[in-house]
Amino acid sequence: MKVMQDKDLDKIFKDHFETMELAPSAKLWDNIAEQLEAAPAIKVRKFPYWSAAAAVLVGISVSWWLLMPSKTIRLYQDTPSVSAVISAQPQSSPTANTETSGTQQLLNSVAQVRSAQKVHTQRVKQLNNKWKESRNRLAENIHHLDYNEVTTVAVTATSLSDEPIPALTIKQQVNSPAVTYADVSQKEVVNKEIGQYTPIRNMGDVINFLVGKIDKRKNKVIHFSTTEEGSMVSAINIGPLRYKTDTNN
Amino acid sequence: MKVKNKVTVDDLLEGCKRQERQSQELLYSLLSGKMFAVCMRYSRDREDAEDILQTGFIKVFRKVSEFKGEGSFEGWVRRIMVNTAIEEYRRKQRNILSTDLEEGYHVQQNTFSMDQLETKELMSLIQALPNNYRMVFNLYAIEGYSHREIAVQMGITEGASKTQLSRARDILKDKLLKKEGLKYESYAG
Repeated sequence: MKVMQDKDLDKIFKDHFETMELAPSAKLWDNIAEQLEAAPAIKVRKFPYWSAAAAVLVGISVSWWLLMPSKTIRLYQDTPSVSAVISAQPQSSPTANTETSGTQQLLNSVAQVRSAQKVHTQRVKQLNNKWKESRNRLAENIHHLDYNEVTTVAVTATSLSDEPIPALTIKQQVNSPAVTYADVSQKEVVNKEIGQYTPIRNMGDVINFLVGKIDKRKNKVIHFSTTEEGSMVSAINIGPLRYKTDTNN
Repeated sequence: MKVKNKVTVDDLLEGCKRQERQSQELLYSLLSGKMFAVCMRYSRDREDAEDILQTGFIKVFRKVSEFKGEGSFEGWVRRIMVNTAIEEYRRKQRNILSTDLEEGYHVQQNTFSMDQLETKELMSLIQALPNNYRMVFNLYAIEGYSHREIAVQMGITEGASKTQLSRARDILKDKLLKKEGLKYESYAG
């Protein structure tokens, strides 16, 4: 008989339990294995969250890309004064040089179109002068004819008046060769210079508009042209695969 | 069988890290006896102990890649079992009202012989303790936790930990005396 101290009591339990082993139920491992089998399902469940987050990220990126200001605005900024400022800066980067040379090409194209317009304006004046001379000569002939010949002369005058002499008709004739001189891209340049955009008439124009928002190159990845038969692919530029058809309209 | 006998717990570590089911099963067969004894000490009955053991081994297999080799692998598994038992205790504390047995145990200092006590009898004594007393006694007397650590783990004050340990010891001494059929003598102090 002796007084039991606290530390003695603790030691009794500790010594007995330290090496103690007890067998659990035989089915317990089966339960554990079954629970471990279910573990991969948790990982699978996590996947949709990542994919959903990725989809949202991609959606935001594409929206931002499509809605960001288009570089075509530079067409209005690339006036001769702006390009002069750019060329006057020797420290401009290679990108700036590329843009300056592009602007120069654009200006050359515009100059060509303007010179063509000048040529046809002169041609209009010449045609007007010829028409005036013809009219004067006809008036003189009428003055010298007798009354019996008036009917014949009237018929002649009528046939003359049917000729495409009106100024409006001449203008149309003059304008159409000017368009013929410029290729498709030059037409677009002219349209943009005067602040106009190609009207959207069909699905091809819609695709051209969308591609133009994304692809800023001169030769787009795909381009549609509108013909009398409808809209059809006129150019493709996918890496080494290039195809281009000049439809002139 | 020859191969199985030679395999040690540490040998199974890599296989468990690769989530190989055979390694996991071998580890379970090697450690389940010792770990079930630990779980029994923290439980009122065998059923609760098996719940702790199952949850503990699931944690071991899922967190085995976190074991950095500091100390023995068996010791790490044992700590997971103890922590699982603490979590289970705290979860039950939130759900049910624990029995308040903090009064009525004014046990005197006792004298008795411990020669014929069996381990299973000691187990039944400790399982009969109130939940909070059993937790504190196990953590302090057997695991070697300090009162500060016990207070943090169980969400109680250090003073409460000391009080509960004292009451647990008194109950165990009292029951040991009765089990031995010895008459106890009362001493002053």
